Amino acid sequence: MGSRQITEKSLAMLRSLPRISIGNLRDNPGHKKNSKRGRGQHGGDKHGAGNKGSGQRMNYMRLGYETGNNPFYLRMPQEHYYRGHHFRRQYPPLSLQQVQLLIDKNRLDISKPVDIASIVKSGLYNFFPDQKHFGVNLTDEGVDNFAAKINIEVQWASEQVIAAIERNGGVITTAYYDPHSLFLLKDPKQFFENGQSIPRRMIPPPDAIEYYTSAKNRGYLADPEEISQDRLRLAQKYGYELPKLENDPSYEMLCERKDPRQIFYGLDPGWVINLKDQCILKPKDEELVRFFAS
Amino acid sequence: MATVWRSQCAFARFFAGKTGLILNNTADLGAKVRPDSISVSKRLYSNYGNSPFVRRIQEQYAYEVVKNPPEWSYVERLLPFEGIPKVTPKDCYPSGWIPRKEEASNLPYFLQRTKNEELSIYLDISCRGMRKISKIKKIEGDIWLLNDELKEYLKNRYNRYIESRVHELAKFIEFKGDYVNALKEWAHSKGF
Amino acid sequence: MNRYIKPKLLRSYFINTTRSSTTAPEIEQNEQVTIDDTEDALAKEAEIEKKRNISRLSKAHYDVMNGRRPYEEPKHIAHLTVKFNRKMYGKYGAASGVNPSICWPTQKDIEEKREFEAVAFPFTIQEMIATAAQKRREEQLKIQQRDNEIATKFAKLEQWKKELQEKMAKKTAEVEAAKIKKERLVEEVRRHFGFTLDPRDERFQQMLVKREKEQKKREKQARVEAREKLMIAKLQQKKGEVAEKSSE
Repeated sequence: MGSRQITEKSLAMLRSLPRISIGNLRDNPGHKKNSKRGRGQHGGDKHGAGNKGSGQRMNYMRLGYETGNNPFYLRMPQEHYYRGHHFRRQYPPLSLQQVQLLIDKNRLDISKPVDIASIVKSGLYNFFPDQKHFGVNLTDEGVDNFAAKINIEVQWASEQVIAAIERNGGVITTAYYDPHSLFLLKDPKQFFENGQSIPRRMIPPPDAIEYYTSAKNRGYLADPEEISQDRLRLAQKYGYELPKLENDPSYEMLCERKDPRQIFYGLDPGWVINLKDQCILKPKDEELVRFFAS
Repeated sequence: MATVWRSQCAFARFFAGKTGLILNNTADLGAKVRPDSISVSKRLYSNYGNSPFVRRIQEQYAYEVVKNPPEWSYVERLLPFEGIPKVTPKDCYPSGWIPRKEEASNLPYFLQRTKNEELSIYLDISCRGMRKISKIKKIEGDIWLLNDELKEYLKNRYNRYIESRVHELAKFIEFKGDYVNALKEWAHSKGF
Repeated sequence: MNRYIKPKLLRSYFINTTRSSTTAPEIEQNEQVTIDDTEDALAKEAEIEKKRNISRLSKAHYDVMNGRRPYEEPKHIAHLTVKFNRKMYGKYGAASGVNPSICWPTQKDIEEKREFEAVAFPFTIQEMIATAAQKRREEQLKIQQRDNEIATKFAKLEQWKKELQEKMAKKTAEVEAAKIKKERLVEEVRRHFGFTLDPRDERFQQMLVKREKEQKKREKQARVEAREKLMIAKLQQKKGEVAEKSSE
């Protein structure tokens, strides 16, 4: 609106004004800067270089130098072997030998499903979720001596470990827990004493989804059909008779698994557990129920 | 725990920009956060400072109090042990762990087991792997007799004299060299 | 005097250092005393209780040791927060006097959480599986394509080698031929002159040019003759064919 008038005005001016020539042109203000001459009162004496110092003497220290103390750019060491370590997930190892030891010493109750909370409760394994530890990595040390029928849930397991556990008639699952859930599992008592409601477990990130949806790794999101097929494949590969789980008396316990949104066995998200009163508060509000069921 | 995490992100914090806060899950999972949703992540840290006042909360939720619920067994399973659970005797221990035997208490010396029912025999390595010392701790009773017996046992086994150091007050014996497995075997044979 | 105080000392010591201390031991003490409801008696009881408590703990700490909530009145700004009250509920249960509604997230919290999750976990599991599978397939395809490329190139490798060698041989042969020709011409000119003349001399150069021209003419002639011969041969062949056909 305003700009249109401006353009029209300027065009009218152009039409009415005389022809442009050198005589009626001049540069914008500030085009000319008077150079300082190195003589006389203003440009002479120290010639703009000040008094003493590296400014006058032109012996500057190198950029970053801090007159002797350890400069900022050298204070923090870097070792390139750990570049990007904070983007990678870590799974502190727990060997099958250690698991067998825990079972032998009665620290791990194998009549119930075993997950990372029970392993930490046994007292001989610890992990730190704030240091990028995302759970238990079951290693194959002691795979030959392992003889216990357990329903175990870890975060990473290799093929030999899976075979060893299934050979003894057990069940192994790999599940993902986000760091917040891991803090809860590490110290459930402290969590219950904080008086918060049990949150939902988050889904794995894109670079972990392949691992947890593959039947080969017994992922918790994998197809049960494929898992049973893979059990057979492993039995054939490692040369053992695949035990029938259906005929097992503790079949129900072995089949017990957590919902992908569940953090603790048997306790749904949204519940508030009170240890003092020994009661559970279950929300009835629609919004809450919907949120915790999503 | 949170402080450890924060100190490790020291440099990231330095260069985080306007907010100066590191976002927990997003940093883990590499997701991008829009600038207007920074307010959400500011409350993710549970400080008393970031927690709202109870007065402000208007929500009154309907809830159901279940006393002595059937799921209480699941809760009890999560609570820590009060004391170290006792070992129930079994036929065999596939892990290779050998329990204590009754006959061990008849000897003039006694090797006490640790809290976790393990033998207290360790290998100390120092001087960049050049010095190996096998240490037997928690020795009660006649320590000098035990020292003599062990020296003889090791001499017979390894055909050489093995130097030892006896510390009566601290109740340990140190052997110069890596003889941990041999000593453990001896201890198991005696029933400790 | 000392002996009189000692048993009380022991009792209060136990009361204050049991881990899961409740008010049970204190009740035990009062069991033998008949409960008098008058104000005086109550006041007296309170005073006796105060004197019994020689733990020198503050009221808050004493309550905590006996499993009660430390502060009934808020003493600090933190006591007004949701976090603190949730903790009180978690530790002391219904006796803490906290409304359990605060244990659950508020509507605003729920919305914020939803927003956060929408940004932090933008893909559903199925989407992620699909993208991962797609990526794997692309990788495989790329590898396969490269393999095929290399295989086809490998098949032609021998032929390329031969071609290259031929090319090199041809080039060297050409260079050799030119050199020989040049040498021959130079020899001829030298022979023509008879005496030793510098090849770079003018007369030599002129002679060389003349001889080159002559050589070229002769070559051209030879080529033309060769072509004529080919044509003749072809015509003869054709004649022969025509004759055959006509004879048939």
